[in-house]
Amino acid sequence: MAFTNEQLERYSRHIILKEIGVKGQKKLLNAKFLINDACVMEKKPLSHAGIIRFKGQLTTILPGEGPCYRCIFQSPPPKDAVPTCKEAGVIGAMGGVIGSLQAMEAVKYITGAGELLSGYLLTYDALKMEFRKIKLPPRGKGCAVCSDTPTITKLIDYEQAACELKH
Amino acid sequence: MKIIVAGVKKEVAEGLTVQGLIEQEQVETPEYVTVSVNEEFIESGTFASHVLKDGDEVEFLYFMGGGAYGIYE
Repeated sequence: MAFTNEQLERYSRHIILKEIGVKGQKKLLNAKFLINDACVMEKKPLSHAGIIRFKGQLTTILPGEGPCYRCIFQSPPPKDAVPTCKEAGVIGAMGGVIGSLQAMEAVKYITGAGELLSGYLLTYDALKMEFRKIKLPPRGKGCAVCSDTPTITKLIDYEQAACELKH
Repeated sequence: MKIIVAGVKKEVAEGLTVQGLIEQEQVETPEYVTVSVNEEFIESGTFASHVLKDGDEVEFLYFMGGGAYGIYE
């Protein structure tokens, strides 16, 4: 999949977040979908994680084998539907906990050791000190990007779409 | 009837819908939450019509955008 220089510049801004604040928040939310779609299309494994307040989540996406991010969350949330980190906050240690788990998933993928979180969403509630492993439905059922008949076949530039939205 | 919500057994009224459960459980982000019942995702457009049955296992999967931006503002 070849990108133009303009596309590389635009897509990298989603991830590098040169713009902080509301625009940056939108881009980070959208980046999760962009990265997922790119990995599914290129058949690359992806470790997804998210953290907010005292909660975190983690799954390992193996395109073609297990469900992808869009199987779980079809599209970016509407405005104000979910709190942003600026509004809700996130405890710093959450990054350490979930980040280390992501690293462990990567080690397991590379070495072939153990069982990956493909097909499961691991959730962590720090206040209850509780981990849960939620089984996800198999990949593809109606998914716009990873099903056998995908409707999303090109990366979506949500930045352009967001600029067109009127608030 | 008895159902399991996020791993916890609960007694709920017969005829309770997914939407009703979302409200009853005071789900934090009711406008954007993924719901699975017995390991099958339920379409958000059918939350109000999907009636839960005795023994159903329900999970709420929350979107977490992540990031710690905004602290520089």
